[in-house]
Amino acid sequence: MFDLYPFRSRRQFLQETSTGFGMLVLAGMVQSAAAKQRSTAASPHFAATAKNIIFCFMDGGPSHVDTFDPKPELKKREGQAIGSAAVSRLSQSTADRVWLGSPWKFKQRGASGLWVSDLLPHLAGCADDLCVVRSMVGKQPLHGQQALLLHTGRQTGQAPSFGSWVSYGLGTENSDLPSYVLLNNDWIPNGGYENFGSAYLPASHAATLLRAKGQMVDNIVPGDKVSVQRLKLQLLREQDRAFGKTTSNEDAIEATVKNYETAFRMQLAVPEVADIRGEPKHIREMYGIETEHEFKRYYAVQCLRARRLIERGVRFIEITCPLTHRNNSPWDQHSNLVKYHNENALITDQPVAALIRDLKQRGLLEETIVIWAGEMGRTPHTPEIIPTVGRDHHVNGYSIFVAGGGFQGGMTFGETDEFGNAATENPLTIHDIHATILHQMGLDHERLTFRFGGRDVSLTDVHGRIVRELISA
Amino acid sequence: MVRHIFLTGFVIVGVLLQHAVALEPGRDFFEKKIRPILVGRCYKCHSRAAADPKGGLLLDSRAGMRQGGDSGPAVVPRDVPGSKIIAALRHETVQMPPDAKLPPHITQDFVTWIEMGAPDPRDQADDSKTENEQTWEQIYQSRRDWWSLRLVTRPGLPRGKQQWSQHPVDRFIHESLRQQQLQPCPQADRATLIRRLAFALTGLPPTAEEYRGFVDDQSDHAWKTLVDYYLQSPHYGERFARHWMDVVRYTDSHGYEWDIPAKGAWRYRDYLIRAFNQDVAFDQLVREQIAGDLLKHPRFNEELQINESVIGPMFYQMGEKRHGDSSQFEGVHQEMLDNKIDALSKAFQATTVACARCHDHKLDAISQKEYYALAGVMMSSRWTTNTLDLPSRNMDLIEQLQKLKPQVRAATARAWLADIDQVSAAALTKLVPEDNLPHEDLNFVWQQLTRVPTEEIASRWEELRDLLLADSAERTAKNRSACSILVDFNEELPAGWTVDGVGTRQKVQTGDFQIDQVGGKVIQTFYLGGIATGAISTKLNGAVRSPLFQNMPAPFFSVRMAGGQYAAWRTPIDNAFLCNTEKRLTNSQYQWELFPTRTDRFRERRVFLEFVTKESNPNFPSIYSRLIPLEDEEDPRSWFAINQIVAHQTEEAPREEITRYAELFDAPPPANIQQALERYRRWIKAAMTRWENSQSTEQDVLLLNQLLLTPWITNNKDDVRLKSLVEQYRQLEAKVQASQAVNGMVDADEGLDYRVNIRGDVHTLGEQVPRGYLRVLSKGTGPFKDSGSGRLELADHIASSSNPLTARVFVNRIWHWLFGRGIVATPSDFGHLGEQPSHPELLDWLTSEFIRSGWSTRKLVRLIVTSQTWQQSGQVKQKGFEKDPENQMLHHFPTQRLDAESIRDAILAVSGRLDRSLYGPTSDPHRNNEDMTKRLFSGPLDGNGRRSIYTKVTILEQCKFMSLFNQPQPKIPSGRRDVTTTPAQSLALLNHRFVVGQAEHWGQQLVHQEDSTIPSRLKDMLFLAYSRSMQPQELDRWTEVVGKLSELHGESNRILYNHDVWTDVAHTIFNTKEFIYIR
Repeated sequence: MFDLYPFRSRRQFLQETSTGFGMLVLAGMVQSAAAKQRSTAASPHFAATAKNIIFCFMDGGPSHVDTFDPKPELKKREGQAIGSAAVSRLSQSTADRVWLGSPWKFKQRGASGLWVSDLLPHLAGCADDLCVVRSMVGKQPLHGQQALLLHTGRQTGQAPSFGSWVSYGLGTENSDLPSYVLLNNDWIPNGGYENFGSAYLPASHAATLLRAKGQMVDNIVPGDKVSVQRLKLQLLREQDRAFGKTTSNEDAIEATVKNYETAFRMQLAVPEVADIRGEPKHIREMYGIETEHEFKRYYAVQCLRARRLIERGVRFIEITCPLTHRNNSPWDQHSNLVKYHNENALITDQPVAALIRDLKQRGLLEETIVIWAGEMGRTPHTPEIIPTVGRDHHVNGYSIFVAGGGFQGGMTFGETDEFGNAATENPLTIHDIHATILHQMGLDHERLTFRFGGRDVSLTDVHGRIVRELISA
Repeated sequence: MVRHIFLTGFVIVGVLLQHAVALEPGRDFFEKKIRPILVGRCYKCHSRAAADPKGGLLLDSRAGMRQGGDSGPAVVPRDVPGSKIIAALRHETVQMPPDAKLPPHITQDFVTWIEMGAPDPRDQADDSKTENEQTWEQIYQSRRDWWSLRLVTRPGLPRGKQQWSQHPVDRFIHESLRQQQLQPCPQADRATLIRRLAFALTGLPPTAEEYRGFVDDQSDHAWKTLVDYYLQSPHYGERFARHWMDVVRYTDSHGYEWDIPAKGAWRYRDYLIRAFNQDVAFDQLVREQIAGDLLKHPRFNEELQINESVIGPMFYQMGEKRHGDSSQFEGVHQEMLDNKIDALSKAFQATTVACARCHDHKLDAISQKEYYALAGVMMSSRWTTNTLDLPSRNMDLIEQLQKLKPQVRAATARAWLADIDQVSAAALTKLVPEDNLPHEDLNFVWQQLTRVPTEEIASRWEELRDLLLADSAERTAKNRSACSILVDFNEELPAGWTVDGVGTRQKVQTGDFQIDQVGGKVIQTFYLGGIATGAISTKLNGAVRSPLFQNMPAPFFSVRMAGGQYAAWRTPIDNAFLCNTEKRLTNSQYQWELFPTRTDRFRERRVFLEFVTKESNPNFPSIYSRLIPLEDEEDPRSWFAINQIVAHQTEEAPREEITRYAELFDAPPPANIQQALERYRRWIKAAMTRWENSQSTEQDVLLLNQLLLTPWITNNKDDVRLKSLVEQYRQLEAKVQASQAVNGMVDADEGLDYRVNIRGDVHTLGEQVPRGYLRVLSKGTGPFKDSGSGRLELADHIASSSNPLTARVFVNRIWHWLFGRGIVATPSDFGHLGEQPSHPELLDWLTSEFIRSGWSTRKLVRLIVTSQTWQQSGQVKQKGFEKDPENQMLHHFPTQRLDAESIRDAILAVSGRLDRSLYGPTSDPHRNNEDMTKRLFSGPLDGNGRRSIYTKVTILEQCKFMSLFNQPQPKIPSGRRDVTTTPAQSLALLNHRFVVGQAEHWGQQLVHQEDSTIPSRLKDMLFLAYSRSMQPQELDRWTEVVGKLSELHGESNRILYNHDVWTDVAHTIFNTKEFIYIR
């Protein structure tokens, strides 16, 4: 069964740590909390608009023509062959495939009149906060490459993830919590953990994985009673310091001693932030936690945790989707588009919308960038119209949105052709999005570099432009 | 600065240009030092050829440089501060080139040149096209003059006063320390030394016996004895195999989307362990890894009865791979080859050839063309699975089984002939289906006859006779006219066809048969003559491979085949590693399968067909097999049978011939159903009798195979008439050892010369490049001569004593593994972006000694660890810290954290859980979630106590515990592991269930021991963990903690028997730094 509350109370923990090593550690925490909060933060390149990022990764590629990019022409020409002119390397396409209209209805929403389909009713309610880009262009219509490109700026990976760069560039605001947290829903995206790794950046910038179920964070639950652990840590510190003096690298030993102190504190801080018991009922309801749908509950809890992490100064949070059925990835509907797009929407739509609302009502949305993006879109065409029809891989113009953090709400940017088959206006790459988001975080994507292999490497390599049209003046 | 002093003995000698006209010195300097840099690094943005010259600056002519750009003159002769280019190169003003700062010596060249008056012959702007052609030669000439590309020399030993040690290594080290006015540290104490050595050579802590043996050995040879002891330990091979596995990006799966298993990876791992334990000459090991399948004299392992050499090329198959092929996703193949080229060049040559995929190498002497010369080599070989078994393996059993088969045949024929006489018309009729059977079905006639009243049976019989004989004639005629026999697998195979495997070594005759080995039947199938892998045992593997489709004589061909248990046919396109064009064989009845050879998908691509058993399938389980249970994956059984291939011009497979009906109808029409039954009996018994007498025809086999599916016979292993024979066969067969195969390569086709991909784009093809190796490492011998891939020539160039890099790079790796830092600190990059050697002469001396010793890894390791340099203590003096904080000069032995595998192994060893057995399949790491679709299964928490090297390395999710401690990500080669220190490591050692579980295990052992006192137990525990005796006050402190722990656990009397207390002590020990560091 899903247990949200396996941890004892903070008070109990504090009572148990009132003397000895634990006390020392806690005293350190209290006394220098403010100072320390800034101490590990690197400095931005210029004044930042936003401080934090929440990336809702729509793993597998939601269909753009069924969400944010209405194409009535598809319905009109449904069943007609697309012809060789519509074939592209950036799409799983052959001339004999046929157009497929959207099974969902589109409407204009909010004061801005932004088009959102019925697939995402809750997000439709946030329309005025969404900055939709309809002209994303990728490199190859393949999950692994696109997921790594989206996460690391390189199709082949072997490079730090976006979150690691942000952590490296800005540091953490809370030394008891990792600066980059992956709220995972028990599913590893294509490309593997490399999507969240720090590669050649220091290991402390890799994502810390916080699971929806099971053990939240690896090794976070103490195997010992606090009193026993305290005793052990006391002895360890003495033993290790003495050992350090007999080595040629006392600093390295001292660093590991310090890490034990941090680890000790993390055992408290992480469960505390993950524990949503204290959240009022209306908040929990808003996120959709009180649901019978197991996967939705996981996802909603993770969204709420994301807000709690932001409040405590975590820089970068990614939330992955759960995989509910046997498939390559959650949104990868080569078949059964209606059934599983509906299910994915059921799981993610309300919690993400609630997250945006919640951040907004707390005044946090202005300093928090929420990204909603898959690694690809889906073909507006299909091999044949059958009851289990689906859509295939498509990176030749697809939609993502960004909310908050100084991005203009209620707008769309870029266009695809009348079928949603190719970006026709203002095509953007993921590098452009990375550059723009870094800019909002006060980081210059060309100056945020790390010396590796004899070169100064960056997230955006030699690509990327700041898309000022997306940003509020 | 330190380094420069030591480079004085190492002056770079320029190679004179082969220009006809003798150039004045200044101009010569320009041509050699300046122009190549301008062309290579600056023209792209600052020439007339550039689309939009940056900053209005043109560097492609003398005038352009003098005039400069927006910010002023780039070059003012004899005025260094006034020449803007210098500040830009130094990255003081603008940063040029923008991608990477040039090394200081190049900037210095520019300074020198400006001081010389900036001589510049370029009256006109360089024509960048022809200039590029000309200047690559110049660039090449200037770059080949690089320290690591010079032949290995054998420097004399330094002659200075050597009071410290006469050991050659020490003489070099001492000489360089002396020049820095530094002193080496004294020898470390014995306890420190044995621990250091045990981990360095075996990756395990010393045992108590080893410790006592060494400490008690007062002879002068104590250290050498200990060194030899560890060098002879079987764990030595495990240790160095694991090191090498980093370099070759060892992995048990291919990552990407489905983490498809890397077939045979663990056999390659075992091969490495054996090779290091047997001290196989390293050049041989290199040759095997590059071309082990092609060696004239492969290395056989008589004990295991395998061909070792053929395992080597599994090296290429490591790393990440994508599924699919280039006809689906253009470039898949090229992308994977890039990974191979990268691994090959880094592992053996510490050279970054892959940097030349899109353009000439930015800094090293490798042109883009050379990359594609090497790509051609890789494209010319097929990526296949190769069999390791020597013919002697299983030979006795195979012979015994062969002898048994005639007995089974005789008994079965007798039993079944009796069955045929007994079957009733009613029993047969009951099984006739409602739908019309096809003509070729055994029961077709029977079905038709049962549908008419008795009075019409005779006439119906005659109608059927006419119908079937006519159809038979038509089928035969059609097949004769439309198809021609391409391959008859009864005969010698035509050119271009190849077979591999144990199950294919003997052909089967028509009428041979497969005895069911695990199911409920007696006979699984009857064979048509040809190749059939299951004839003796379905554990014996096989592969049959066609020539390339482009060499097939007709647009279509068809294969008559049968098979089951995950045997498959595959058509890899353009050598796709994990191609999706595969289909399983699931029918024991022979069928014709049609293959087109000229489809759009195959056009201009290299495609071949292979039939493979599971073991011989390089891509099993593929993405289509991902839902098969693990037991099925591990079960070696699988079989296929192929009989004939015919070629035809139309897309119509041959039809099954039915001439067998002539014999049925060669009798007067039956008057009733009973007579019809007699006709049938006569017909079937004739076929059965011919089978009994080993005289089966093709038609008989087709009929008999159908018979297996009908109630005519009792095909049941428990049939009392056959039971004992079948059991006898099965018991013998059970002893057959499954064939062993490993992924690798095979040369079967004409070599392919690939074309340059302009800017690395697979769609923009440039000139064709003949297959060959890097010019700078092949002594200018030009393109390969071999008409195949040329891989053997490649191996010869690399595994050569005159290759300046191969031995040097490996010697440096050994040094790196023993000291934690190489003489060259970048073990996989000896190029311009790598570090330069701290002790170039020592590196050369060791390299020449290594080659002289016959490339013996063991001798080299012994040489290094017997030096005083390696035995120094870590008690560094203040002066050392100040002058050489990074210890490049080795004035002390550096403290090192254990690598991930050793940390885990040490925990197992000390807790008493370690299983020291060697070799065998991997076990999955423990996981939080299993994912069957990605084959991420979870293994036991303690890995059954086996060493870490036997834990599966799965790319999508590596063993988390070991990843935390920097086990490298295996997509690309890793020459030097990161050593990070993170709180997550502390959390793991504190709370990971593996660590806690091992502490409990240790505690459990302890409470059952009869110890006298708490202090004596503590002494033993800490001795086991640290290999040293405890200080008295240390012991007091631990004893005190034991007291407190027992209070916390509410134990006051029987402390020695309290499991919780001793688990806590064990756990604390695992968490001490002394446990995971060596000094």
